[in-house]
Amino acid sequence: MKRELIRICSSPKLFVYSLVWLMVLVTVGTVAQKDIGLYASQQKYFSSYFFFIGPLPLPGGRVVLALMLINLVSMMFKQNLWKMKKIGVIVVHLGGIMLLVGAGLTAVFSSEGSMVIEEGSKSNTIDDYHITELAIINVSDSNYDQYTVFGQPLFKSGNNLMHGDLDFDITILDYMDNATLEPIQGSSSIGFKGMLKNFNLIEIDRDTDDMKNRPGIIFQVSGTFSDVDGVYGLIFGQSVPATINVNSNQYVMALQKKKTYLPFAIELEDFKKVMHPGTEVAKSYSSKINLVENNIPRPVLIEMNKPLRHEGYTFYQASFIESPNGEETTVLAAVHNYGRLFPYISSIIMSIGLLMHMLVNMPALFKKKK
Amino acid sequence: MKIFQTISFVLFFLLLSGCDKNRHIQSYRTPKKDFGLQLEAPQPSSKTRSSDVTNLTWELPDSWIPSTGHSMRLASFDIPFSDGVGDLSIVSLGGASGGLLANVNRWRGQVNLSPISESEILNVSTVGESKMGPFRIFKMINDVDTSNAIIAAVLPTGQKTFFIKLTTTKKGVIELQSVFEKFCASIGNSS
Amino acid sequence: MRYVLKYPLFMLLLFSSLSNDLFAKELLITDIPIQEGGRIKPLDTYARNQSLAFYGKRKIKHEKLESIDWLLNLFTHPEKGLDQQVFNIRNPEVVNALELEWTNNFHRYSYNEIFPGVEKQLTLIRNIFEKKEEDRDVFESQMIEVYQNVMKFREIVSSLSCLLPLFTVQSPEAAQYLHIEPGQLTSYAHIMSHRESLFGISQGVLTKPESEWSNTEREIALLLYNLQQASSDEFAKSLKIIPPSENDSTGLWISPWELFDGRTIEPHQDKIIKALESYLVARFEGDEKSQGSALKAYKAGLLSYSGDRIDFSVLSKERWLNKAKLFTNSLVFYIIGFILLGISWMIKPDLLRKIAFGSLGVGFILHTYGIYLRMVIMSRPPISTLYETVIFVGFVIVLVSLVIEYLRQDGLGVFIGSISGAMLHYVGFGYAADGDTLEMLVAVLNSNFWLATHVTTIILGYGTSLMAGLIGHLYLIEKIRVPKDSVRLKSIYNNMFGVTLIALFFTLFGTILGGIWADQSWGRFWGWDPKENGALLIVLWQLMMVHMRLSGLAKPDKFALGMVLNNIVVIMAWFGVNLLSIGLHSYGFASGIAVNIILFTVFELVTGFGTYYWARSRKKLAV
Repeated sequence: MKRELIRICSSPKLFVYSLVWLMVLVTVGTVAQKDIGLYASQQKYFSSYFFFIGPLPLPGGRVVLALMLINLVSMMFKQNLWKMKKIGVIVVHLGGIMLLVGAGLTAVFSSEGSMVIEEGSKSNTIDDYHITELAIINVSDSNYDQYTVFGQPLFKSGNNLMHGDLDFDITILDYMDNATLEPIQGSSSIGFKGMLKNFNLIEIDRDTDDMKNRPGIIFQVSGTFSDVDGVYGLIFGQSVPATINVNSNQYVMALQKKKTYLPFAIELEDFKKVMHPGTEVAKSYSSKINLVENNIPRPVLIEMNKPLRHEGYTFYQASFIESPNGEETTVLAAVHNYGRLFPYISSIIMSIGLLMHMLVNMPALFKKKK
Repeated sequence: MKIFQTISFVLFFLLLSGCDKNRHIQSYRTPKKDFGLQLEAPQPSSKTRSSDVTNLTWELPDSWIPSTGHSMRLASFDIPFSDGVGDLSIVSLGGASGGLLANVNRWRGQVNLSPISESEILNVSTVGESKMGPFRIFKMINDVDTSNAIIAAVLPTGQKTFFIKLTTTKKGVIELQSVFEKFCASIGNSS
Repeated sequence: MRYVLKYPLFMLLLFSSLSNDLFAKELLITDIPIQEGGRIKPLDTYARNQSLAFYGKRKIKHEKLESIDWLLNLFTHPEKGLDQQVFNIRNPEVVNALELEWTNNFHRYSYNEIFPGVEKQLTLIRNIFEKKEEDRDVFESQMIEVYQNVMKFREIVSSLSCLLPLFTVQSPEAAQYLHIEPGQLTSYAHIMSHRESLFGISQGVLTKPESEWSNTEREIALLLYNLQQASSDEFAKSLKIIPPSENDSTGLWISPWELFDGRTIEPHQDKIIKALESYLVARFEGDEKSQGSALKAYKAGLLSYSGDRIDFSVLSKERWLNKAKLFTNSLVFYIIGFILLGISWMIKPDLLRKIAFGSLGVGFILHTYGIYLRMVIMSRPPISTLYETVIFVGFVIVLVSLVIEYLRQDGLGVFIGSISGAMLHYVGFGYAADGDTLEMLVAVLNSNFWLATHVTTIILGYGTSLMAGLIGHLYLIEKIRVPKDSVRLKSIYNNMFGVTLIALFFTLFGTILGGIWADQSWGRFWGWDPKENGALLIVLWQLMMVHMRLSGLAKPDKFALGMVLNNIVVIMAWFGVNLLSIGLHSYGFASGIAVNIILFTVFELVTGFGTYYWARSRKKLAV
């Protein structure tokens, strides 16, 4: 039974079929990017377990790669593999296993976001590039703000969101990946509060560049038994904050990119950019920052191709914003990736394996026949 | 062996899918942040509109070609430059016309820039002198999307305020800035 | 063997005649530095790029005029330039929109013919600019191109008008203040250098009413008016030939008109302007000796600039490279090699094969020298842009082919090398026709270590993959020709499999190195973006073919077919992915690539499957 299972799992046919399907995924996923953009294509074809073409469910990237990992691992259990002549092959495949394991860890455990810091200011928050959250902030106290935050996976129509710190309940009505505001002609419906009194929040087609999308959310507030109860809408990046007052508590409500708070802060002292003369092409950017931990600052220079690595996070110089009065704001990419080292280890192992195999087998292939 | 394999399978799968809903709810405290809750009430726009149209004169650069624009415009020009064609409009509005701040922020909104405050207005503009008095020039450039940029001059003259606005790209603003300033400086009154 | 030696000698002679100017100590007008596209290049490159943009070729062919001469004529005789028919417009819709005459065999128009039509269509042009590039149709894209060319031309023509002798005064008093003889023609620049005196004698004109002006003052008034009119050319800022002042930290070079915007003119800038003015006058009068001394003075001006050192030898190298057409000549030798090889299959096999080998070698030397010069000029590894990868892959394949030919001595190397080398040169020319191929890189590519490792490995991967594919074709053809010659077939198969393994090695590691580079630069090893996916597809396909062969799922002939199809994957990854971002429907060069990719794919599919099934049917018959 065990031998049978290993034989099936390690079969080269399984490998070939998975490879073929992976190639199909890669091709379809690449072409799709033209229409739906890189992020949406990643989510649909590569970071998924299944996706649908019409009513038909098809395996996504994660399933295919998992199958290939099983295939590779079970190959290791084959008795007739372990021969001296095949030592190179074994090592290469071990390297391959490392690569896939690393990919799995990255897929599950990593996060990527941005830190936007103005010259002279400090920040300890990373804003995720894509994932949003609904933040209800109690600003009543003069010393602190109390955040209650609900993550994007909870934004399903009909979901009830509750928390002990809140004096009211929230029911999600709709979440849109990309939305816009349109002024209402005439008067709004009864029960619509805040921004929805003057504007309709409507869904529009997603932009292929995910950074241009402005998510929107419509939800119902209930349980205050006052005229605060009603339907509210929020759009990402709205300039005027939404507030409600319940039981002498003032709450600010915001749809924001998921925030991660760091145990240290980054303060931007100076941002420098050098362009290729007379062009819009950047030659190099750099940020002179202070890394502040436990109130102790230490100076660091973050440049393109020279990031800062600290506490499992890596901070890269991504881009910048320039305001007309000359003040510059640096935009850093902050990445947290557990599987980071695996590709390095894997490539070393695989190159050793291939070299071993080539040294053993190559001369025979190139002998000249005269 | 088979059982071990099955269990590791299941665990692996669970690890990947995750079924703890409370994972997505968080609660924490931060130091006070300014949410901008004390906002000015928006200025009511002036409803008065003067009926007489002042006869403006100016020195028109050779390459600027009159075009047809919105009926509210006093004048409209297509302005060619190396990588595009700018759209210049001259509009006059009575009185304070909603206030300098409101107009500047409206233009900033048109190029997707965030609004600025009263005190910053002085820092981001330059002053020029025309035949009808001084004017303020604002450059509004969005570095993220350089296809939208505006350079505009606000020329207040007692009765009316003239808005000379050139809509183009970032490159256009840079190339046309000095000829735009010269044009504004040449604006005079024939009547 | 003697014949093989004669060729390099012949080439050397040819070279030395061409390269007499290469080592000239004097500054030639072609070598004058100009800053464009972020780097300092010789005026010759600038002139060729402009004529390419307007006229479609790097030389004004119908007037047998070198582009540098055309450019200089524009400066000295702008009125003639405006009437010169150098704008190539081939789209009848555009011609109609500009109210020009359309004829079937003549498509060139002058600035004066085109500009009135452009002025009428400004609003339309403005609307087209507001559309995103990928949303413009062919007509719109070409309208924009004509507009940009016309605007550029206008700017170039006006660039040096401040140095032309256009102004004069007759009265001795005024002439004295301006430091000229009465009636002598002088330039805007010259008058501006005596600004204070001019201001002094203009007082009368500016304060007194017109009726009270003296004759001198009338002349001054006319002069001031003319100067004012001339200064409308100050928008012409594209000819950045003057190094900035030492305190200027931006390092941005300046154009002549910009010097007269009120700033202080530094001594080195003054020298250069004066030298250029003398050069233009000398050229206008056809005085070669004065041209020479003007250029000497120009060089002195450049040398007195104490900023970033100007490398004159690199400038002259680039100008030489422009003229020498190394890659074209290399292509010619590759084609000669292939033809000779073909003939050698019929008569005199040994002799002709050796000559063909020599021809391949000469082509290779030219090819290599071209790459070397590019590397010296740009100070970076010659594999940083798509164009450069094309040239470099060609280099790699021909190099390996030369080695194979030397070892095997049976024409296989010449076969592979001449075909691949010629085809890749041809592809390179397609890119070169689009504009200047010596461009600056964006910040993220500015890391020579990763460029050297990742890009080189991927290039070697592409090259060896294409070679494996070519051998695959050969295997199938031989299988049809001599199905019973198992020794020969085995030999070819072994080569094919060996090259495939090498290709797999390079593509796999190239892809991983790319991921590591991405992880180092912006924190993400793999993002499933088109370029990454393309490289991955090549790796996966080769991985699949190798495993199918090793597990017996594929016999050698199927493997050969698989490697032929691998060529399609390589071309898709190399060129196809770029089309995704530009859009498959955009006009011009991009659609040219798209058509070529489709043609190549169809060709490989047809010949691959065709020879495969034919070989199978032959095998059945043979058995």
